[in-house]
Amino acid sequence: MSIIFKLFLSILLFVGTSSVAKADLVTDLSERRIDINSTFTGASLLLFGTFTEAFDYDPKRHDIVITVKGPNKPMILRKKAKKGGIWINYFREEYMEIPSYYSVLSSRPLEDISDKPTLGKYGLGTSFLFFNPNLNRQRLPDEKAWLDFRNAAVRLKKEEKLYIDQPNGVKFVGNGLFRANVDFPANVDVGKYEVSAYLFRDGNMIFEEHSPITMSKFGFSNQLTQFAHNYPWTHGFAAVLFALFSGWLAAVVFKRK
Amino acid sequence: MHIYLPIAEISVNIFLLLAIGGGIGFLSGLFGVGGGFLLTPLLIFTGIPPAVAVATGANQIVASSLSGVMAHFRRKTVDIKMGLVLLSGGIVGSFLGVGLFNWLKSVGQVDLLISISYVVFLGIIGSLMLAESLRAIWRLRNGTAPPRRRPGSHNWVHKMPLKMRFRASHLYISAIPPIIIGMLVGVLASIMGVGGGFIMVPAMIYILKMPTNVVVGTSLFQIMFVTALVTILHSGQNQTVDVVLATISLVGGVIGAQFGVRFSQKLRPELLRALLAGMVMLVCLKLGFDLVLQPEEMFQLMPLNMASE
Repeated sequence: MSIIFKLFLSILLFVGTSSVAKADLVTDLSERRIDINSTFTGASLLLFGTFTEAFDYDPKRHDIVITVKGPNKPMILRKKAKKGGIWINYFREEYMEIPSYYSVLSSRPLEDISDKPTLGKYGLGTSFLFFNPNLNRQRLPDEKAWLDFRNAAVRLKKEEKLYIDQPNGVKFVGNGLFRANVDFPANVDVGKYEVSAYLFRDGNMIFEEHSPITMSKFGFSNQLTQFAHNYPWTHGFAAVLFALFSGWLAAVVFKRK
Repeated sequence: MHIYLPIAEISVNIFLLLAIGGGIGFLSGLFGVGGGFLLTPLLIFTGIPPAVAVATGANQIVASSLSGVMAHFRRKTVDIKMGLVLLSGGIVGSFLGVGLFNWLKSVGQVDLLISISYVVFLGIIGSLMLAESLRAIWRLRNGTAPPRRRPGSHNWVHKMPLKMRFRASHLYISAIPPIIIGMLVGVLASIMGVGGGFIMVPAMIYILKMPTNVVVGTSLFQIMFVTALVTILHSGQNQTVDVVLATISLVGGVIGAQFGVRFSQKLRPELLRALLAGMVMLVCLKLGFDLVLQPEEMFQLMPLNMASE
């Protein structure tokens, strides 16, 4: 692993010396495509890169922030309340679209890297993620409740490991090279993900780079899901036929005993 | 070893699922019940979304009831005519149940519906069974004979119109009560993911006065068709049938049932019924407490299905 990694880096550096002058920041990923199969329990992606000024890299001046964003999905958040002695879903907020996955990794805690307006401008960190409620269906009483709901959504996503804050997730490994490990849990959504890398100098964002990765369900479980979603009625019939076959098989096998 | 369930969209330990399936199969072999009413809550306890647990439970019962009904066909203990009348009610009930299920899903209360249905039905059935089995044990201890039931006595069922002759059951009764019973079971199958045998068998014996030897086979016959319909409706409208999950729990169930049948011959039937009743009450209490006690997590985040809103 480490030999391959070093090889990658030296190639990157070699290519980098000619092109980095134009692009201040260069990154690459260990994989561009992650397949979810039936034994998928999560994945880890290695990101590495370097930048023009890396040769006089100063940890107090230079910072790297990496974000990985999953496809946006409309979501509904419900809050329970006690009604008639039992707890039922009572309050609700609909969000038009929120990232299904969001990971932010940085070389230092974000608040040490830059000020809030700058972080907000580039949407860096879970506190700056834009959640747009469906205003037509908004029934929450006040701003405090909106904020309460938004924070709960972020917390739930973090508990599912779908939102990840890694304030020291970007490591400099020497010679101005940095690396970061991006983790994906088993329940990630399929689709196009965007990997963004930002270079900060003295608290100012001076270069950004964006590249896509693809998360796809693969193999048998993917085909099954596709089938279930694209042909739900046929899938239902097939599920019943399969169950009837299994039941018949069980009856025949155990009759002999 | 974990396996990714494509529809439930979670990774679950395959041995845990096999153990649950095996445990339920063991119980169904031991007590002679379908076990759907314990399978669905247990799947929910492991973190499978309730809607998926219900739809998948129904799919699994299709398989287990076919195995059962084949054995009863060989012994000629199925009243097909009665089964078809029950089924006609069951079809209507399934559509009503899935409709109710979808409506409550769209307003975010489907989990509540599932929990309350379970608490109510497990509570009623569990306490009735417990009382009956304890009485039976008590009588055996004291050596008193059980009171005789008078079969064939006429009640309100026999005064209704639309009378039909059911040869296999030696009955000439109105078709309305079986249709209503079938309908109720169809509703239960679609909102609880159960076969409904635990409701239908007592109803057939005590309300319809069917002879006990054809009751189980006929009930399984109807359950097989109703759960098949419920599976198709849930798959078609909600895409919540997880075939991988159904297959794993079925494999466990088939194996478990074989051990259950053998073990049941070593235990006294009254004691078996008391044990089953105790278990039913435990699941009922757990679900009941979850409704009443303040939940640890007050919020629930779900993908919004635009079509259903």
